[in-house]
Amino acid sequence: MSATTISTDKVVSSRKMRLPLPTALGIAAFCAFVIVVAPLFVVVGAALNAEAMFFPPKQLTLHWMVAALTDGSFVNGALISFTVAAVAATVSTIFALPVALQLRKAPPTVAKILTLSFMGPLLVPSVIFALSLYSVVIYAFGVTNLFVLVIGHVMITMPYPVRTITAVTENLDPALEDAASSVGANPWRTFVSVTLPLIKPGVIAGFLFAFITSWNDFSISVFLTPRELQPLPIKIYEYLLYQYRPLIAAVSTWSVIGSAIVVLIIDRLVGLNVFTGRRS
Amino acid sequence: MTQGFDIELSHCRKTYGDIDVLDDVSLQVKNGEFITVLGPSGCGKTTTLRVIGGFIIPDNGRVSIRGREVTNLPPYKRNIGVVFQNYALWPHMTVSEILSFGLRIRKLPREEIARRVDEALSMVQLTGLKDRYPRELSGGQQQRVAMARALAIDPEVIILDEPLSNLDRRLREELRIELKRLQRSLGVTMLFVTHDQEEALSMSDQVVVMQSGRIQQIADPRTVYERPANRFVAGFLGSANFLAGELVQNSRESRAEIKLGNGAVVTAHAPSVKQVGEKVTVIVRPEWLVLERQGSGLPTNQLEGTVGDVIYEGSAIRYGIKLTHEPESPIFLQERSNADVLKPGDKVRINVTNAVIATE
Repeated sequence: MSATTISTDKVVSSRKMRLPLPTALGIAAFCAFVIVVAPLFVVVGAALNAEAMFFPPKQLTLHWMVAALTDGSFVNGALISFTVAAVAATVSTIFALPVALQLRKAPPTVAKILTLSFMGPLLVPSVIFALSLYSVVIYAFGVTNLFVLVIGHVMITMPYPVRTITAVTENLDPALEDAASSVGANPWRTFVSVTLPLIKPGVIAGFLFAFITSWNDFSISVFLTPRELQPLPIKIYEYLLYQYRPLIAAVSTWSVIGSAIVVLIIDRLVGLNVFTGRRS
Repeated sequence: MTQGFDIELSHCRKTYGDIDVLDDVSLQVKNGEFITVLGPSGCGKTTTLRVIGGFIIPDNGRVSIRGREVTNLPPYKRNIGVVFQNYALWPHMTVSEILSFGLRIRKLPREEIARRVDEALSMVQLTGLKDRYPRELSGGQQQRVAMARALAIDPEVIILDEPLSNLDRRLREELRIELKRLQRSLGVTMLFVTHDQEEALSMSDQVVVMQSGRIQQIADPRTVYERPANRFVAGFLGSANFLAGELVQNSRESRAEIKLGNGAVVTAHAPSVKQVGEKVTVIVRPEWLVLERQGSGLPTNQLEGTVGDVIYEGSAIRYGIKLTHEPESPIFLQERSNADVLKPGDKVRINVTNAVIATE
């Protein structure tokens, strides 16, 4: 009986010892979290205002959230954004695949330099990049259209799939492909049946990053968008030039929700059929 | 001319920068033979295997499989089963998907594929694990799946790259016996790469000993152990004493008498003809030395010395013996541990029962 009491005491005291005192690292992480998440709260809060935009909101209403979904102009912009993002992300992922696979075979120093150069579009200020692209396009074709806009988006989104696919191919054991070749698989068959399924997480993650980058892009679109086919960020910008109402915060909130859903869906897909084979 | 050999390499050379990874490597493997390529890491044994498999194209030389030249063919156009060191099982496929992959590429009928997968699985005693993923298998089971994958495609030869090196000792010994039994019952030609001399000696029909990209000796296990061609082979396979001496007489066929530094005379096997008066190195394995407890006074093959180190090794006991009038480091002698144990400082007389002259 007494033995039990003693052991209970020990449990209690050890529990007390484990009380989570915030460490410097924990505090730093919390601050970072607040800084990242705060803008989301402000946007959502502003969207719930009844009259003018305030934060925190004075009177709560879902009126603007509903209005955002029924506003033809914004819905149209969202559709264009979605199409452009889907096409641009697909194309840049398809382009990134051979790049990443070839980088893996290059000598290490060459690979390092080339990997850095593929990050190029991230290093040039995007406004300058967009302006140069605009000048070239106008000079060459005299007009800008949706095709040109997609090309611009492919260029700025490609670094993401290149990076993510390179990261997974680095951990891919070449013997797995050698083994496929040894049982008779030609290079294409090896790629489809062995390489691609094993690098799928990197491919999907890269596509996802590219999609979101394209969806949210402003500076490329503002130069290359044809007048009649404006993507969502341009619509928002133009609206803000003339009006300042919670509708715009509501549109942004929907955009954030949409992005989050895309992330969740793809994360779910990746989690379901890819990681089963990868994590051993 | 190349007919009759399942694997034939002739004068293969491969250079990376200044390093000769393969330096004029030639070897022939007969049908149904189990050949081991043995050597320390970096000796070129894995490169040899990769040249046969088609993963590396040699700079010079020819590779033939069953009389067909394949030197420049990619792996998928050869018909060679490969077992990789880390097994290289595709993590996203089940065991039966892994085994049937090569058969599906060959567009065999479904029933045929199912039959051959079952057959390969029963050969490696893994029936019932068809739907497992590689990560759900133990190391030994993964090794068997890798073996079954190589067997399933009905290859002309199978090449294995240190397939047992990632397993613990007991399992390794078990699989060694099993692999050898499988090879013998199927009559399939195998080339096995290893750095483990025990594996090489216990499994092979022929052992190829390599060092720095060159073949040092090709012979059956007994010959490489008992008649090592040179100091490297003698030292790499088991342990060996090296005694310097001078050839005093070529006695019978391929035997010679050698006078050691301390005046003792030993008879040794001479693989090549040497001249009287030539300086030679005599290789003597520790178990070729026998303690002379009775003290019979034979004129030759007798050495005298003092016991230094006494090392107990379980089934055997090893003595480091300092030879009288011989400045070199002690020689080692091994005997069964059930004999009387000597103490350091004991004077002993040793009978040399076997010795070989190193060719270089």
